[in-house]
Amino acid sequence: MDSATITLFSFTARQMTRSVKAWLFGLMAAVPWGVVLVLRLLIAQGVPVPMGGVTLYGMLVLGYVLGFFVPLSTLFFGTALIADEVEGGTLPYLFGRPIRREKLFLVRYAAMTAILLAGAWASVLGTYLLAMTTGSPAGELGTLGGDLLTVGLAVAAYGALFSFLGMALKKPLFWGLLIGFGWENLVAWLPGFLKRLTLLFHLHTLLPHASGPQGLLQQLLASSESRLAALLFLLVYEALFLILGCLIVRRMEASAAEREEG
Amino acid sequence: MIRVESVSKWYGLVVGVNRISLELEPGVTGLLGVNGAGKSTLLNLMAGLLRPSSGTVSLDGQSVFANPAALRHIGTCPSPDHLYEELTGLQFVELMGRLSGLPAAQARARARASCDAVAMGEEAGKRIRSMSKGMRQKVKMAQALVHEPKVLLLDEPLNGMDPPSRAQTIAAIRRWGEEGRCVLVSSHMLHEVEAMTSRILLLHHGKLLASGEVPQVRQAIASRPMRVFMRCAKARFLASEMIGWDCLASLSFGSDGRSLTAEVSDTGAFRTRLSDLMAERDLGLEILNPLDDNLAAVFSYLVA
Repeated sequence: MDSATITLFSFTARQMTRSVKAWLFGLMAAVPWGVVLVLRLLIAQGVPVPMGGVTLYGMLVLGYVLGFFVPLSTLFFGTALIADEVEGGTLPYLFGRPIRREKLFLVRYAAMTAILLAGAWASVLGTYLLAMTTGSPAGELGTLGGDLLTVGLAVAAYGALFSFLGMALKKPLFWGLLIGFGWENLVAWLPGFLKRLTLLFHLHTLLPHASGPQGLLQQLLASSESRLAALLFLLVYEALFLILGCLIVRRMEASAAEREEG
Repeated sequence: MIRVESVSKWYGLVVGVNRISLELEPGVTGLLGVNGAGKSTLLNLMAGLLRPSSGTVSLDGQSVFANPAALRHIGTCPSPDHLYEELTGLQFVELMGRLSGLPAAQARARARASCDAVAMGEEAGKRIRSMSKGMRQKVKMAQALVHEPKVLLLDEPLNGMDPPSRAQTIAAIRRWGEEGRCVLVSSHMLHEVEAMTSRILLLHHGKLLASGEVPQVRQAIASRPMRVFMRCAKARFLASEMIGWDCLASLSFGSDGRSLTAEVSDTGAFRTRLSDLMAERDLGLEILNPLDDNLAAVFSYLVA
């Protein structure tokens, strides 16, 4: 890997981790830990709690991490990948360097994915360790492994989608919210082929949780697809959004909105 | 050598530059024009940051837009004052060096050398957000130099600099030109550019009005007649009065019979005689407009 690639990767990662957004999403990643700790506290005080152990863990991964945290964090960081440089007026410095535009976009995407993956995995792992210490943590390691893989694919796929939208559309946050939380959550429930046009449907197919309420939910959503098909769909979508992103960045102008100043 | 061939750039209905052709030679060339003339647009086209709407910008035969092979040889100091505020000047220049493909140690050394070349001294170690406007300009220039390009495009580099910094920067720019680099410096102040070079390009409303050595451009202005459009109730009478004036090169009527277009070789004398005539007679003059991109007016602004 050349010097420019390493520099760009580490610079992007540093930009992300030093932003206010990073702190906010860091706190959000810890929300499931807080939920588990509160429930454990209630259990310790003899308060009856409707669920615990693997069920609680599964609900938090499905409902919170996959259904909320990953789409929201990738939306905010993905749409800003190039847009922040445009708004900050620093894009000419990046576009003026002898780096292929596509490489610039992909390396920044890779850095963003790495950082968000670390946050999402920390959230899942922490929730698992806190929720499972009263049961048999080693017994559900396969579930944990499957969840980490699925959440990783979610970060990569949603990250690619929102990075593309961030360059393609004028109000990417608005459209991203509409797609990430509107389209994804509504269409994933519909019968027929249309649900395959969402990322959520394929992600749910991959999740290993087979028992409990979330298992039923999964079965409803992912009734007719194999895990291999789901994985292929996700990889194809990710590739598609990244290719589209590369095509857009290739033609972008560093001062597109800039009129003559002097 | 960087070549611009019949390049135009428009943003919707607004024309940024209009069919400009030029070749940048080694040495320093000044790019002059008033605000809104198209200087920054032209520089951004040459820097590969904007795509031409028509025409080509090439470096050694290769198109410049989004082309790393060409960008390797181009360094740009943009006009807007946007930088990565959280970095120090040295860190920013080193970052640009590393993004240009320099290994870490070399980028560090080159960054130090570039900051010294623009006389930043110890200020280079300060955070950019705490720097003065003049020092920020120096940071921009240093990052343009760090990868040792053969073409330097400097957009209003002296903005915000105090007189000692201006003198240092002008000396540095002259030195880069003497080293054989192609340096294009934009400004709206002729005297600044004249301190660096005698070779200028004069831009107005997106068009290249004149190019060459400053004395040649001045001569071109003096010998170029200006066209003036007039509409008045007594057009024929006005024409009969003007026809004998020495300052008038030619005169023609418009199709409506009330308008005249005069080619004037001495605008000062023309204005004086027309004012005297208007004071003596009621001509019913409705419109008096210069028709040309007024080279004389542009040049007057630049030398003011």
